[in-house]
Formats: sequence, C-alpha cells, structure tokens
Amino acid sequence: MDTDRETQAMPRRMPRAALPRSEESVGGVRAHVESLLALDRCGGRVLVGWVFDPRGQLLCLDAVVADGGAPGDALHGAALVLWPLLDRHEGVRLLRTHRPDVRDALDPRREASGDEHGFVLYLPPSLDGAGLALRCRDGAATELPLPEQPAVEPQSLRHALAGCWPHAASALRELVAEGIGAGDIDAIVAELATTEFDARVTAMPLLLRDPPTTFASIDRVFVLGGAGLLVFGWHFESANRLVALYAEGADGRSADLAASVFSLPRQDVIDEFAAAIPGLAPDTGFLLHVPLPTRLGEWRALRFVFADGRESWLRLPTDAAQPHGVALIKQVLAEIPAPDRLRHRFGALFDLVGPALQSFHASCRTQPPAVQVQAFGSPVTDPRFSVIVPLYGRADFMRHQLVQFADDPDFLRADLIYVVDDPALLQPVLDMAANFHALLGLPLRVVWYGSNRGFAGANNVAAALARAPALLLLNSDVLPQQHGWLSCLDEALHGLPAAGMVAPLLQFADGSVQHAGMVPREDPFLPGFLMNAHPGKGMPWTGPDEPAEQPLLTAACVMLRRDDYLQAGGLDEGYIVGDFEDSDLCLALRKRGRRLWLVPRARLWHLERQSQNAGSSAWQRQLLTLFNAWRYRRRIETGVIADPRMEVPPCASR
Amino acid sequence: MRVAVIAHGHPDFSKGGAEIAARDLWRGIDAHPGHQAWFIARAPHPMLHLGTAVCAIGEREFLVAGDAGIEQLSATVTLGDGSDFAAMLRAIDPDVVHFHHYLFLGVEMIRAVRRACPRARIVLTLHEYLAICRNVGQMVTTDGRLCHRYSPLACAQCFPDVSPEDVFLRERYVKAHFALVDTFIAPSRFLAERYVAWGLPATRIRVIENGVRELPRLPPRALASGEPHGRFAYFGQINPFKGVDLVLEAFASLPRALRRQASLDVFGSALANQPEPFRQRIAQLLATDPQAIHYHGPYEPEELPRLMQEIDWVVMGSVWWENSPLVIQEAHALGRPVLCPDIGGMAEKVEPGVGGFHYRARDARSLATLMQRLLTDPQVYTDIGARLPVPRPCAAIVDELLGLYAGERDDV
Repeated sequence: MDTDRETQAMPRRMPRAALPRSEESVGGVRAHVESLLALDRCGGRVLVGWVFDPRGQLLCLDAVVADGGAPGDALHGAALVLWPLLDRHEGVRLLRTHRPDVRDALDPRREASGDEHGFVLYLPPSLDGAGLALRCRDGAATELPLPEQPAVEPQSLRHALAGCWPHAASALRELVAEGIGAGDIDAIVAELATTEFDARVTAMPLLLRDPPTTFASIDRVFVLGGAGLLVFGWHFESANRLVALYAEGADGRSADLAASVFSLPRQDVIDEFAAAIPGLAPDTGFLLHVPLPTRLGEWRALRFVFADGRESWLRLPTDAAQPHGVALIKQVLAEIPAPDRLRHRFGALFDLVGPALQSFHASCRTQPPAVQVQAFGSPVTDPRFSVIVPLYGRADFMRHQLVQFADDPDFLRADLIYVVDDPALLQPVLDMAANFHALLGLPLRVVWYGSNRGFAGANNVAAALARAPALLLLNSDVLPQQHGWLSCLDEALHGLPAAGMVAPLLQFADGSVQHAGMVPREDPFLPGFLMNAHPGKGMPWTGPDEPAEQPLLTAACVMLRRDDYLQAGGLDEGYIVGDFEDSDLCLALRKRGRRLWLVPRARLWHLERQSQNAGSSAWQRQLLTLFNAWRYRRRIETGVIADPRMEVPPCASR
Repeated sequence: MRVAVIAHGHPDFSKGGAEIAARDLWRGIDAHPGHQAWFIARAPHPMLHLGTAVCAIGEREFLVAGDAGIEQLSATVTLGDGSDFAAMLRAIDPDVVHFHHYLFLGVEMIRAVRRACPRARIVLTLHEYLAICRNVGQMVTTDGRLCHRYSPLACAQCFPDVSPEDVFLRERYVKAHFALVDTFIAPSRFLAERYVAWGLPATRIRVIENGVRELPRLPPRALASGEPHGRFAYFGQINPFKGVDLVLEAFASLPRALRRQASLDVFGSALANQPEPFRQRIAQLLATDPQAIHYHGPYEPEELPRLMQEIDWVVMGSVWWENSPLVIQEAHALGRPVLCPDIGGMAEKVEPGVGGFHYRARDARSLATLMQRLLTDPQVYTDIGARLPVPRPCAAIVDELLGLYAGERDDV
C-alpha cells in the first residue's frame, strides 16, 4: 500500500467469476475487515480492518464495482471493475494504523517491519455498494468479505466506533480533522475522538485488585516529552500469568514493554498483601520506560495481557503537575524505593532509564542562554589567562577569593570572570563585585543568564567570553596559598611535554591532600561503574615538587588552552548538576594526544564541603552521581572519549 | 609627622580601655611639637549624618560609620577609592595610620588605608583575641572552658552552625588584610604569643603597653588600731567574663570572724545590661553579708584616686585570659596591689609578691584562701607596698610609638 505501488495501480476490468472471496489472497496476503459503518446522514462508509503483507506482495486495495460494459461485450453484465483506492482521490480516505495485536498474532518473531498493519478507510457515497478487494503484484485479486452492517444512527455509530477503539483512534481523528463529510458525522466522530476515548481512559483504574487477572497500581508517571514516560508502580498476579505488557496511546501507537521493565522492591506491597497471598515476591514494584513520545496531558494506558487471553488496562496519568528540567530528573530518582537494596543493579537501572533521562535532559537545554555581562574596571589588555569561577549556592566565596587575588602580580594579566550560575545570587554578587572592585582595584567581569546551567554550562558560557589564550577553571571554594600560582601553572602548560591540562596540588584547610591527580577505579560496591579515586586524599603531602603525569585531573582548579577547550566542545553539559564532566574533558584531551600534569609547586586550598554528602537526600544525590557515572562509562565504551584505564606511554623526553 | 589614630569606638560614647588608650594616644601625639594627630572613631550608623559615612566632630576629630560584627569582621560601609572614608584619609594625608582594634571598623579598612595612602605606615594595636576567636574574642569555649589554641575543627565544635571551612575562611580573610599591616602592637606578651601561634609573623609584633594617664602614688590606707589591711575592692564592668560573682563568692565564704575585720566594695558598671539570671545571682551574692559587702554602682575615671584611697587591695575575678587590663596599671600607679587569676595578661602584669598575688583562676576557694592569708599576715602588705611597680606613663609610651613610626619597617 505504499506510494510507488499505488501509482502503479490502474483500474482493471475482470469477469465476476474470476474474483474469489477470501481473507487470504493467493500472494499470501491476509486481511480482515472488522467494522463497517454506513454513515446515515452524510452518506459513505467507514471500514476498519487490517492487512498483513509480510512479503510486500500487495499492490493495492481496490473498490469492486459492477461494470455495465458495452453492449456486445462478452463480459457485459458479468464484469467487475477494480478501482484502486488511493488516499485523497475521488473522495476516498485511506489511513494506516498501528496494529500491534495483528503483529503479535501473525508475526510473533517480528519478521515484518513495523506494525502499521491496520487501516481505516472512508468510501464516499459514490462508492456505496462497492466491495473491497486485495490486488497483488502478480495481478491476482481477492475480494474481502465485508461484515453485514446496517446504516447506523449516530448513537449506534458511537458504539460501533468505540468497538474498534483504540486502534483506529488516530486515523479517525485525522479523518475528523480534515472532514470526511458534512455536518453531523464530523461532529459525532469529533465528539467520539475527544470524549469517548478520553472517557475510556479516564474511566480506567490506576489501581486494580482483580484476582482473575492482576493486582496492579500506577503510583507515579513522569512525562519526559520526546523521551516518553517513566512509570512507577507495582503489580503481581495471583492466579493468572502475565505474557505481555504494552503501553497504548490514543494515536493507536503501542509499545511493547517486555524489555523496558525494571523490578523494584516494594515492602509496602508485601506488608499489605503477604497475609492474603502467600509467596509474594519481594520485587513487585516496577519502573518502566514507555518509549512513546508523550506530551503532558496526552493519554496513555498500560495493557496487561495474560496467558488465558484476558487483558487489563490501567491508565497512565500524564496530567499531574511536575517540575521542569533537572528538578524533574531529581524527582524521578527520589521516587526509586529502597535504593540501598538495589546497589548491585544500578547498572541495569541506568541502562533502562539512562537514555531517556539523557534525552530529556538534552531537550531541556535547547534554548541558548541570554547572557549578560557587567564589567567592573577597565579590562586587562592582552590577558594571559582567563580565570573562570562559577558561583552557585553561596556568594561569599567571591570576596574571600578576591582579597587573595588582589596583590598577586599575576592578576595584572588575568581576565577574571565570575559566572552567576544561581539566579538568587545575582544581586549579592553584583554588589560584592562593585564593592570589592572599588576596594581592591582588581578588574573583573560578572556574567549571568538567569538560570542554573550547572558547572559545565557555566564554564562554557564564560569560555565563550574569555579573552585570554589560556583558561583557568576554578571552583569558588578554592583559595590560593601564595602568589604566583597562575604563572607557575602557565609555565607548566607551555613547558611540559604534550601538556593539555595542568592542575595544582589542592589541600584541605588542615593541609592534608584534597587532590593530587585522580585515577579511575572500578568500585566493587557499584559493579559496572567507573568512579574517580583521589590517591592520597586526607594524607599529608609527601610527594615531590616535580610535575607528574596523571590519568585524570579535577576541574576544581585546572589550566588549559582555550583553543583545546573549545575544540573539545567545552565541558559536556549532558552530565547533570556537575560530576564527571571534568574527567570527560580530561579524556577528550587525552583522545587528542594531550597529556595531563599535576604541578605540585602551585598549591591552593580546596574547602570541599562535607555537607555535600550529608542530609536526607543523600541517595538522590548519589543516584544523580551514578547517572553521570553511567553516562561517563558509556562515552568511554563507545569511544567518544579516551579510556582512563589505558596506560599512557611515557614521554619520549622531558 | 601626621598620625591618624583610628579607634573602634569613641570614649565619649563607649568607655572601653581600647577607646581610652586610642584617644590618649591621639592627644599625646598632638601635644608633641612637630607632630599632628587626628582621631577617627567608629560610631554606629544612626549617629552619622544622612548620606555620608564620615563626620567631623571637632578639629582633627572624626566619627566614621561602621558595624562590622564579630562573625566576619567585615566593614559595613563602602571603602573604595570614591568613598567618603578614602576622601577623608586623602585629606588628612597621614604618614602613619594607627588602628586601635578592628572590630566594628572591619578589616577591609586596612586595605582602604593602604590604597588611599600607599606610603603611610600602618600600625595596629591588638586588643583581646577577636581575629582568632569568634566567641567574643575571649578564647573561652562556648561551654565555658579556657581555650589554648586556635583550630578550625575545635572552633566549629563551639559553633555547631559554623563549618571548619568557614572558620578557616574567616582566618584567611582576616590574615589577607593583616598582611597589609606594617607593625602590630600587643599590650601584653601573652597576647602577642597568642597571635603568633595563630600565624602572625613574630617579627612584626612589638609588645608595648597601653599608656596610663598620670595618677598620684597614694600612701597605704591609714589603719585603726589592730585593723588588718582587709579592704578588698572590685573595679570594672560587671559581666560573667569579669568574674565578680567569683570574687563575691570567695569573700562570702570567709569565716564570719574574718569578714568582721574586712570588707568588699564593688564599683561596677553595666550590671543593668546583664541578663536577668546573672543579675539575680549578683544580687543574691551581694546580700550574703550586707555589713561587709557594699555595692557602689558605676564610677568615673576621675574618681579613682579617691576611691582607691579607701581600700587596700584591688581584686580581679576574670574567667578569661584578659590582655592588659587598665585597672592593673591604675592600681599600681595609685599604689594598690592587685589580686588576680593566674592566667593570661593578668598573670603577666601582676608579678606575685611585687604587683600583688595570684590565685587559681576560676577557683573561688583559692581566692578565699589567699584573702585569708592576707588578713592574717600584716607583714605581707608592708612588703609589697615597697615593691609595687610604677607603670610607664602615657607620655613615655607616646615617645616610644613616635620612635617606632619613624623607624625602619620590619619586613615589608
């Protein structure tokens, strides 16, 4: 039924006796007309059915009409004409619909492509009385039996249409949208499309306690737009056996969820049902990903199919208020019950939901930020380094840094940029910048964009504005211990073999090591993830002053060339909130043959806070970290960035 | 030489030892031929005019607004190149700017001076331990123990809402400004040692006592026949840190027969500002022996010679280290020995058997034992009276400071 075949189809005249009646054509094409609705007032008929054509044998669907023929013709009075039915020709509408049920029944091994086996056909009044035939490429034709169906009144039409729900829904809607007739029928079908189907979904339960089929509940649905839905709930069967699970939509589209379900422990379900139903599995909960793109408020349903042929439908509410962007992702992760019992399965969890979260996160970042800049003081001419400091959560770090920078001669050559990555901080930061610029005479720029873009986004915005050939990325809670650290790093960047990125020694306030380079570590407690370890963290620094090559560096304080940064695409904003994007950049540079060096002569304090890992939402934060770790691992495995576990051959010479 | 003396308060409105020392210094320098001095005292914002942070209240006498709190010691007025403060400094054009204290002023004021007067020598006299300790600068833990050493971890135990990192940030911030100071002056060795332990370079700290105004050396009080030198007196503020309650407790615990030969006079201010439970406790202690314990209320510095004429011993009760309490110098100048706790600046300034006697700090029993000994051994008073030190007068201190101002800078 595709276009090139439709254009090949020509009307064909043939003897009545030559047209067999069957639901199966000689070409192996099978078809069935399920509903035939004769439209009473406006005339015409709507036919709903399916054609299964695994080998592409079908040429077209034909209308079969009697041919008077010319007197003297041998076929006079005994002939038929097969008129190819082409969408939008002669008042005909022919629309294809998704029929996963047909695919399940006839193509269980998924050999044919897709599931668009269904059709909805509108025949105008000029074709009243015509039959329907399949015509194959080899010329063979077969007439399809049509159901006996009297002309229907609007009221019974409603039932008839409802009967072929939901597979015809989208086609019917399209018919309505474009108008298939005059007056009443349009109104009726429109009403059906907007109320009958919606009403059906509205009437569907969120909670089912039906022993012959299932006990099930939909607890929370997150709408991710183009990335589909994430659904939390639980189900178990007491007597029946679940054989298939689908998500259904009003457009007739359906998604097989067999591979999209992640089971979750639900102690509350056990507590409620264990007494009545012995032997209940601990993992009745589920998190499933529905890959159907879905807008807020668009209806979706879950269809459970059981071994005995029964079905149960549950509504997937998509109209609940939900936060936007990263806040939504955080809520999704917060919804995961008992994450402490899932640790060994986090890899599988993110394999399931990671791509959806990733795609949703990307869809939230399509808007380029409207960046605003305020300069305090005359900019340094021909700066040697652009120092970029994102501010988030608290502003006062800025003044602590500024008073340390003030007398360092290196800052006479520095293009200092503070990035307000937290709209609540804007006014305090601008005030502080004005105050401290006047007090210290240190020129600086403040950049803001009215939103929170995370560590990567903040640095990327500033890097685009940076005026110097080298970038120094700096956390706001890092304070220099002495003057001259910028030149020290700058000399290392330009003097060490193949140096692409250099970092200082970072120490806690008590002098113990916070960062002296990082190494990749496979954590036996979190199989499948590649984490970063800080060798020597918390220990006194006993290493040499000489630079040492490192597998990874932390972006709490690093210097690199601006060109390298931009050519690598900056810090990857696909990581959420801030984690691993610095490792990612390190590995992007390593993939380009650059090397990473620790320069312990440059020393700064890093007041990394304990509180980052405290509090009630510790698991939520850890899951966010794990999402980022999952993404990091995937980018390594797909070769987007270098593998940090790869040994770097020693430098030829120093 | 042109010297600007900046104080964290004006003694006309706030009678602390530091404020008085600062004004004495101003007047002392200004009286010197060939030198001019200005006095710039911080005042709360409402005392200033609308729309300016400075206010001239006399010839070479200014108020400057500010309310920098203990937590951050950070200025609350603008101090940049275009500020009123910078304009005032440029108008004075000092060779030396001598800060007495940094509280309320804000440490950024040091930076503002450095920018407005790049050639001026900056001197800072330290009083108590505010840069080191958030607990009112006393180096006493919030649960009342004496603190011996600054440490961000320990400080965060005192203030559970403050992280060790925040304590460290405050330290770095203050030190970034202290780095601009040419010379620190510590009125006591003890205080200098505490600041050096905290990280100030020892080479930049000089120990120079605050000056004390000229006071007459009084003869010992004339005794009635058989009467011991048993008149003890407390002078100073009445608050929990000063330990008046400890002094009262010690005196009240003396045997009744001894108390009949002795007395305790309390000359103290600020009692009305204290919290109710503390006031009640003081009231109860004062009432334990109305015949021997007398509360006189506040006094003016000018009254001091007359008041000390009537007593034998000055008693201190402070439960913190102190720095260089003015009352010790005043007592010594007036010829009265001092009984004080054996810690900090007090122990340093009162040499046992010379300037007075020590008792075990925070120990009323120890003070009572000391009092008992003094009441029963008349020879002690005679001996100490002959040895009492004579504090250096203000003029000598001013001369020393003028020499310091003119000398080489230590390690800039």
